[in-house]
Amino acid sequence: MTTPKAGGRDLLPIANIDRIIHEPARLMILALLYVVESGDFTFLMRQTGLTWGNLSSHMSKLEAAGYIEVEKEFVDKKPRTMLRLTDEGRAAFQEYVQSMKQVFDDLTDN
Amino acid sequence: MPQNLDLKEIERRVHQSVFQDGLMEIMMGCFLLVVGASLAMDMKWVPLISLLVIFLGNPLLERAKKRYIYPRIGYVKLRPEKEADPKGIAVAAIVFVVILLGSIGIFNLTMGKDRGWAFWFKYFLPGSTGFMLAIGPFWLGETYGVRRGYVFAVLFLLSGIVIPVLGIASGYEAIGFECLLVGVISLISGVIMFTRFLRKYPIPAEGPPSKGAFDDNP
Repeated sequence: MTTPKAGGRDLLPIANIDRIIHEPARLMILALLYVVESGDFTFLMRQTGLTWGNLSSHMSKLEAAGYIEVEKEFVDKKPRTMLRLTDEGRAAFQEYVQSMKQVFDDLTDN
Repeated sequence: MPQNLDLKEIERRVHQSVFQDGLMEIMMGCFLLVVGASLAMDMKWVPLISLLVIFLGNPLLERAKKRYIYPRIGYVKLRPEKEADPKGIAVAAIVFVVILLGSIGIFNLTMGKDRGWAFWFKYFLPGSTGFMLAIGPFWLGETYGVRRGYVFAVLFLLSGIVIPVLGIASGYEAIGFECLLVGVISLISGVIMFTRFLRKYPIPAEGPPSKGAFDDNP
């Protein structure tokens, strides 16, 4: 497989961007979970401005990718769904941020 | 844009959202008013009230949060490194007491026994207590970016100096006035913030999907 190039510049970092993370809503969710230990559904909904349905759909994709994990706990006999970033999700997010920085650094160098 | 993804700013906003409800100010205000009134009237109730606050304050705050806050803005666990270190607090309290007691000796040596003691009691005790009380709100401002923490820190510092200097009160009484003054401001601002919070964040009509992805992936 050849490395994609444009004007002699290596475009591989762009090709390697994680598409699961590279979606604004999911990026917001991951960024929020990155800076806290865990948060419940209502917290993420308030912070991101997404609807329940939308948030749920993105959460499913992130969970399927292994980036977040769901913990069910009971507080005063009421269920609470806590969401946290997995180690894999944390590493993927860090890698994504580095990749994007590199992409923008390369683009602005021209 | 990802290049503008400022994680520090996101973290700061999350922390601010946790402290936006005003409940902490209400609790602090109530505590300061009770302690202030006790100091101004009778010292003997202060240790008992302080113990009651230590044991009941946090459970009461948590209960209020469960009832009014979490259904509105959700629940978040902050990263553990941001939590206050109890050992650090204990060491700081011991250092403060040592400095406070040591300063009596220094004032006695430099100003003479009677004048030294009078100066220490009248000015140094309220001033240094104001300084000690300012540490908590200042820490809140520094750690969580809660700016009003700085305002309360300045209020504690200023009232610790101004109240005895203006001759409003001295010694324990001055500390009582400090607590009453900052307590009233804290309680009023807390009530305003809490009322605004309840208006701004009604309980969401929608609940989390009962038959969603999360039920299939416990």
